[in-house]
Amino acid sequence: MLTRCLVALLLAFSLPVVVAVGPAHAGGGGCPPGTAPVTAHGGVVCAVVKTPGAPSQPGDPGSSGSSGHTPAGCYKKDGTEVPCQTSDGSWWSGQQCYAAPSKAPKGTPAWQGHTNGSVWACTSCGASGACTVNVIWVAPGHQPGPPSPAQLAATAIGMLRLAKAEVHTAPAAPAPTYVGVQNWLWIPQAQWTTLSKSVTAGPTTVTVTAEPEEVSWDVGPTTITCNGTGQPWTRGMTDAATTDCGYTYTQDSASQKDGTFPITAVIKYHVAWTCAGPCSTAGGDLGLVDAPVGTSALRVLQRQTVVVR
Amino acid sequence: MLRTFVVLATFLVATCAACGQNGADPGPRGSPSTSTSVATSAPAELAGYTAKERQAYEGAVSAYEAFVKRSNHFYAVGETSVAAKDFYQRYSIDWATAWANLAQAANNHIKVSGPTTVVWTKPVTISVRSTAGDAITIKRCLDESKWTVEQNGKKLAQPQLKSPHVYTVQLEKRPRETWWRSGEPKLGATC
Repeated sequence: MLTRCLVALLLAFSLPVVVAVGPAHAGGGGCPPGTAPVTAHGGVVCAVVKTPGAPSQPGDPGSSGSSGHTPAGCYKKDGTEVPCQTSDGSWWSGQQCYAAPSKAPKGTPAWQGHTNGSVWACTSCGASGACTVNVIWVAPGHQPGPPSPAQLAATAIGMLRLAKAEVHTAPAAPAPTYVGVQNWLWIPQAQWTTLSKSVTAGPTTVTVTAEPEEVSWDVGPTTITCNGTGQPWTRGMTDAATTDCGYTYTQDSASQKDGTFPITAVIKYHVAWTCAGPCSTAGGDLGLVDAPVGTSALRVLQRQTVVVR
Repeated sequence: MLRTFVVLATFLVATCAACGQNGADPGPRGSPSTSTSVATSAPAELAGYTAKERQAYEGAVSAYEAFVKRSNHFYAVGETSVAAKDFYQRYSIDWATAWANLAQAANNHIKVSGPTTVVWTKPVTISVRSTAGDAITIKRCLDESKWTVEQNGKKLAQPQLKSPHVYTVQLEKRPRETWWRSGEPKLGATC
């Protein structure tokens, strides 16, 4: 009895190691020529398998977010907003479906002969109760899903209302100014405000913050940069008043189109973003971002001096 | 000395009793609990497990049979329906893989039907954990020779199904879930 049991125990531990469905057949050649193993019905059958799905297009996961005015979130091609995350997976805008990772064994048709990357079940169900499901191989380094934090940040910037500079000068147009006279340049203090916007895609929220850093003035002959709004000129100021943002013309504008120098002002914001929730990156610095351009024009005259002896 | 022999013999008898029909052990088995509540009336393949473990095993196998029956229906129809998706999301350990498998069959117009004969079912490991959930691995010898596989309406020969094969299946009952989830069967050798 003891011997029989020992023999049985030895036999028990000498059974072959179990292998995954796909490789077992793919490598073993259990299927007739021209067919491949397909996991089905709780087992493995042999059938003719066409390409299960097109490879993914790199760089198209989630909402595009690259345009400054693209709204946050996930959208169908017809513009219908859809949840970025459902029980079917993450929205994959490039394939217009919800993607969930499949652990199909390597060597099975789903891998399309690849040995790296990943395989995804790409599901789109209609109201009729039928679903379209593509099994898609995705190259290494690419992954379907909701927009990345950087894409969300780009989207959020598009949603920020960066201030279009309201140009003020002294002398103020349409009154002319003169060569050799310092012109004061400023924008309203109310435009010097830090802006913030958050966008959420699934469990991830990205907040961008835009802080005004400088104003770039193009006064015609040259450009100058002011590190603030500039000092507003008000009636009654004495000659002793000064500004840190001004420009003195050395030539008149008579030869310019319309006889004026065009003036533009752009508030430059320092933009940074932070990510909360599941984030591949905690945050980032997007540097200086230009707000819309504010415009004006100045007529510059040459004042003639007569010396009387 | 005699006492030592009795203990060893008892262990071997209990272990050997789990070897199953025809002496074909399905493979390595988990360590049965050392609890003293081993019942003498347990089926051979469950000898050495506690009553709680046996109960979990029987529940899991029963749930798996129901899972297979329902899943097979989807393969017989050959369609990826919302009902099938919902079913796999609720009852599969890895729903996306189960769903992709069905999609693979449906997209290639494959329909599979016919009875599966379970030659034997045995536990490999039984882990009953009150807080972490329950996990059971089973091996089954399945006779699939009566399956009918059609592709685009044409019957396909399935020579690999002539002999019964051993499949290993993971089953788990997750914390805060009252039902069993089934894993994808892994194909082994012929039984």
